[in-house]
Amino acid sequence: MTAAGSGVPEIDLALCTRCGDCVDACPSGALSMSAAGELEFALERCAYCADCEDVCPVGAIALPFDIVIGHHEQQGDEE
Amino acid sequence: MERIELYLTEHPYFRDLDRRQITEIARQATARTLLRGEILALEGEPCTTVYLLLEGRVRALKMSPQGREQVVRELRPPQAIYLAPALDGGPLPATTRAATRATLVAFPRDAMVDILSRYPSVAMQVLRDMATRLRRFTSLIEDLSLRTVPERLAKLLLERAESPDAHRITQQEMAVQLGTVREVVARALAQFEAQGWIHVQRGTIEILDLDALREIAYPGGV
Repeated sequence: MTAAGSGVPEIDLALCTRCGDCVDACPSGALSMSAAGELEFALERCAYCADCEDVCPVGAIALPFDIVIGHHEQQGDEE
Repeated sequence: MERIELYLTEHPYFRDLDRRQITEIARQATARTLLRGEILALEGEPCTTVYLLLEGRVRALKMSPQGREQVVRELRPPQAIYLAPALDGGPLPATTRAATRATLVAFPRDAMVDILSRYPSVAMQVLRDMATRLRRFTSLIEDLSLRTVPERLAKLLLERAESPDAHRITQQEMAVQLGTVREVVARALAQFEAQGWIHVQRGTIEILDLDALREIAYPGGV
């Protein structure tokens, strides 16, 4: 489930202990636990709020950001 | 062993040594691998080992009694870890934790001290490195004591945006680097966005007004 793509939470299943804290914390229901006890993630529901990252006791979830200079600013700098 | 030798050959500390000397030094070292999140050593422990980072990233952090973390340094190859306590004999000044999977070359403290006394060129490189670190810590102290969180955040955003090799950063990582908690970072980002200075999207923080952020980050000019 680890994905480096922009705007997709990175979930390290090797670190995840399936404790379910992130499922309880997620305000939009993007995380759930399957009947088999596996963590499931629904990207379309995720608001990228980082509440899951906050509560994960083993640091298995990361919601990283690229920090970029806006297109207009880059043009402005060149002028 | 061969990998350690190759690494030491390319490491700035050992650049003036010949093959035989490198081989002799490599014999005293061992490799250690850490998983992401794994603790290397804890603040306050006696110093028994000096590490050179071969790959990955390791964070040095201080912990408040309330459990709040302050990242004092993010180490990348080929940086050394725990040189200061190896030299002054004091306890480890900070806890170290792998920010990614990391591989390190470990020297027993006594072996490293012996290497420094036997090879002046290595000692000079270490001194140069320590001087650079001193400058960085002075800058960190200035940031923590003289700047507000929004000022520090504006500075961090500008530095990251203008650094071509900056990796992606989470709000939690921003918080520990700024000496605060994630909620405060989220609030400051929301304030910046409300002012029209940035646009926060899924996975991207876009700077819309460089001048406004520079004014906040460097009041009175750089």
